[in-house]
Amino acid sequence: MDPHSPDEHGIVLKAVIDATVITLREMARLEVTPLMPADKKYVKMFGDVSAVIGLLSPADGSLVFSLDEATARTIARRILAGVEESPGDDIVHDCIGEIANVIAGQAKGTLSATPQRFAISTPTIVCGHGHEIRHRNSMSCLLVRFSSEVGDFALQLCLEVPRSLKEEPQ
Amino acid sequence: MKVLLTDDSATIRMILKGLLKQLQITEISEAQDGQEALNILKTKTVDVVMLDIHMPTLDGLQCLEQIRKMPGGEKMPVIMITSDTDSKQIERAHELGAHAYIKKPFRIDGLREALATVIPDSTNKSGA
Repeated sequence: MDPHSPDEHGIVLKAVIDATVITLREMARLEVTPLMPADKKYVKMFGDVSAVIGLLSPADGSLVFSLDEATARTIARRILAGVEESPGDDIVHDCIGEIANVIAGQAKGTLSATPQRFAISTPTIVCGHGHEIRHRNSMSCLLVRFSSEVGDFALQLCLEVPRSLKEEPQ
Repeated sequence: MKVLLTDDSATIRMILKGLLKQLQITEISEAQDGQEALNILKTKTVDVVMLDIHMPTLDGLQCLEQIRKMPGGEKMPVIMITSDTDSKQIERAHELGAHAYIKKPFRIDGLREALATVIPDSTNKSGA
C-alpha cells in the first residue's frame, strides 16, 4: 500500500466493514450495523476476547476484532448451532479467531487487485477481561463499533503511515 | 463416503462436520495439520481429503504435494479449503491436482458442488 493516505485507510476500512457485515450474516445469521468510525486517538476500545490479524506486504498494519465474553459466546453458539450447543472457552476463542480470519480474507479478496492489497497472518487470540490491544505509535488507527441483537463489538484497523504523511507523534 | 477433514481450526472442523452430516456423510476423520493428515492416510482408507491451505507444521499445499507422492495418492480426490481468494495458492493447488475448493464462510451448496466435482453422485452415495 504505497503511498498511504487517510483516503486509502478509509478504502481498507470500508472493505473490512463490508466483510464484517457479510461474514456475520453468513456464519452466524446475525445482522450487524456499523456505527461511525472514529480515530483511536479519541476513543478507546476494550474487550474480553480479541483476535489480532497482521496485515502484511505491501501493507503494514493490523486488524483487531474485539468482543466482550458474553457476545463472543453467543456468536460462537450461533455459528456452531446444531453442531455444538455449549462450546467451551477454547472453542469460543477459536471461533472468534476464525471470524476475524474470514473477515480479513474477504477484505483481502475485495482489495486484491487494488493498490491497497495486502496479505494476512494467522489470527492471534488475546483474552482477559477489559484488555486493550495497543498499536505502534507510528500507525494510524481507526475504530468502528458494530451493534447487533446479541451485543456490540468493535474492529480496530491500524496501518503504518509513511513518514511524509505523519503529523505530530502520538 | 469417507472424508478426511484437515484444518487447524476446531471451529472450522466442527462447522464442516455439521455440513457434511447434513449431506448424510458421517464417516469423517479429522486432522489438525498436514502432517497429521498424512499419518492418517498411511493407516486409513478415505475417499476424499479436505485440506485447509493455511496450517502450521505442514500446510495444505505441502500436504497435497506429499499426498501425490504416496502410493495410491496420485489420484486421491482433494478439496482445498480457503478463507481468501489467493489466486496464486489456488492455482498452485490446481497444478498439484486439487479437484475443487471451498471458500469460507461455507455454504452447503458450495460444499455439495465441490463433493460432486470430485466424486459424481457423492451425495447419493453418502451414508452408505
